[in-house]
Amino acid sequence: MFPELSDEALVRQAQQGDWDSFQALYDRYLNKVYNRVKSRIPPEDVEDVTQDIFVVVVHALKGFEARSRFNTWLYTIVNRQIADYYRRRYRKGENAADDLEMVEDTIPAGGGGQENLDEQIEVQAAIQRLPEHYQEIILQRFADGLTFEEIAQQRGQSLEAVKSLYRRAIQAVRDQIGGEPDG
Amino acid sequence: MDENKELDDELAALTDDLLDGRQPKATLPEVEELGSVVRQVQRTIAPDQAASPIFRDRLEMRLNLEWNRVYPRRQRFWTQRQFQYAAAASVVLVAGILALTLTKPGNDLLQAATGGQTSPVIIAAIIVGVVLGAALLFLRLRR
Repeated sequence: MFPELSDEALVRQAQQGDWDSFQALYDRYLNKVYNRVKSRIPPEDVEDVTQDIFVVVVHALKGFEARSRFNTWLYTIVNRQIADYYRRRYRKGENAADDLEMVEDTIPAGGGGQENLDEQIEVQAAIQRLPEHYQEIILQRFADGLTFEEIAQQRGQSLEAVKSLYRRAIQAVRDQIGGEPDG
Repeated sequence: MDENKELDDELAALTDDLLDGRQPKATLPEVEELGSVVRQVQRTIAPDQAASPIFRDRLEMRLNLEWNRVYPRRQRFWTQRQFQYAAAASVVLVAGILALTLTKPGNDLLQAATGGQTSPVIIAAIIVGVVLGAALLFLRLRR
């Protein structure tokens, strides 16, 4: 639906109350949002958190002033909802231990054995500890499935700058896994 | 700087290869080392699953409800219930008055219009109008 229209054009139409335009945005972003949530939230809560995110988007869309790109705004809501989710969990006293325990729930069991599971928990915890711009580029490449060219276009940066940021992000993951400070 | 650029390009190419299911080839030792981190990241957060169609449809229905709350549909005046009540009541009233007036014996207007005879077609049309108007009114009031 509306493949030729940019996000911003769809947003403008949606802000006039055009449900079809909103639906086109929803189709465009559902799986990206879902994957981002899936990589950071326990599986049993992924659908609830994804739903909360889109409900917030419906209510907040009128106030979106296009000072940033739509997807930047959307992913800010994603990050805020994920943070809220963990705040609620901490408040309830559930799983109030360390990051490792927190991410342990997000990795589905099976398909690789305990060693593989441990590795995934370690990597996910390492990513969660990274500065946000490092996390973001990793999520853009792996969870959103964007190419480096698309990431550069979205971020308004050169391809070289994006590849350099990506390399530093991967080095930071390596340093986190190895217990070294990230650079 | 050039050395870093080579590293950046090679790591990006290795990542593209891995994510596209191709066999990656690294020549720089550091890229080879970072390649194992990329593989670990891929195993952890690769988009291997999309939202299920059931969830997608359920969420879309919920969002449609929320949407109608935030953006209530503006109704045309002829689709508004009050207008429809008034229109149906008017049809009944006008048809009733017409029926009474036109079927009155010795009515000049009717005789002029029908050439001196009260046409059964006109009377039938008036009755149909009354019945349709009444039915419309009844249906609207029942909802």
